[in-house]
Amino acid sequence: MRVRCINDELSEKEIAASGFPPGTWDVTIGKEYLVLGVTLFAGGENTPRGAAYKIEADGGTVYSVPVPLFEIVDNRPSRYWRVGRRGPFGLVLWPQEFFERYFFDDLSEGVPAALRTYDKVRDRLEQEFGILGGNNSQ
Amino acid sequence: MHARYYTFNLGRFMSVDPVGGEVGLSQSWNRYAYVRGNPVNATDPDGRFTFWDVADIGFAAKSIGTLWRKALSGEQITAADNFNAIADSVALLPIVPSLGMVREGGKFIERAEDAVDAVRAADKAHDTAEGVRLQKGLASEQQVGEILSGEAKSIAGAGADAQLRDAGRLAKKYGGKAEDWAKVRSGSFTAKDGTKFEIHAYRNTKTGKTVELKTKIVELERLAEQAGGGP
Repeated sequence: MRVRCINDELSEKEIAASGFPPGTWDVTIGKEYLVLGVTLFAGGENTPRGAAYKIEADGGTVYSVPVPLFEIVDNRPSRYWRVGRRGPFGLVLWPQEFFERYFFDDLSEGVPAALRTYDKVRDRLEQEFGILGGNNSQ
Repeated sequence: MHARYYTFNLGRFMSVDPVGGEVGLSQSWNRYAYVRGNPVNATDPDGRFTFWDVADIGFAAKSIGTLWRKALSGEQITAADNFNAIADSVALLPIVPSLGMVREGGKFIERAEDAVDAVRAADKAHDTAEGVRLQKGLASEQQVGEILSGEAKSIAGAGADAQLRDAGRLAKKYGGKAEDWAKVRSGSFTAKDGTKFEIHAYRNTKTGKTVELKTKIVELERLAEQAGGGP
């Protein structure tokens, strides 16, 4: 799955409805992103409500960015995605490796093992969606 | 992994100076500044990184962040921007019981306007090292403002779909519940020399308390990993 950024921040209405924080997200309007996974946030005391794409943002950090900021370019789901739960109501579709405990925390810290795992996962998805050059953007 | 970072290539600390301000030295009230904003001519070899509680000053961060964003991009700073920054600076008075912060509000605006001129001058000098350093410094100021304003985005923990390894440690050290702590990130910035960085911190989503800010230099991190090899 690939998406194209159409906005870099949510509207006030979307923020109020979802609970996602205000301000710009680290994405570039017009740029395409490989979707590494999908998260369905169920809402709650510490959780926003709504769907988000797990992408590698412009700064290199992998995190979940709200769906309204993108349009779908390639609507095929990855065959590597697996369904899992997050919290009492949340649902995710991620590559199996992403389910490892603390994976994204370790990745953000630059833990070598997490970086190597991430690179493998990204390469696999890029091959699946015909993206060349080891870069997930246009 | 949990060390607070000194941004060696930005030439500044990412946490407040534990030493407070001095009457008559308005720059000393800017506790984010390194050696009172004069890193070229002064050093602080004894600079200490300690826990800092920014909940009280987070209120002012958004308007200050706006000023710095505009200063960085070269946008014109409007009277409204100045007013907001002054108003929010005045709001800090309860924690800084003197006229120092009022003076600092004006001083800040002078600094922002000076920064615009400085960035333009640096551009004219065709990407001099000093220009790049200044650009990085201003970007980091903006990123800190973003973190403190509550606009930072969760990577792990509260508000995210990923577990936070240090949630228990943070609750024990800084208070609150483990589930209320999040690792947050600012937007990224790519300097003219290609260095890409962003700021990460831990934030209590209930209280707004933000701790352990550190700069993540993304490209260098990945290059180091690639150089290290591995399967």
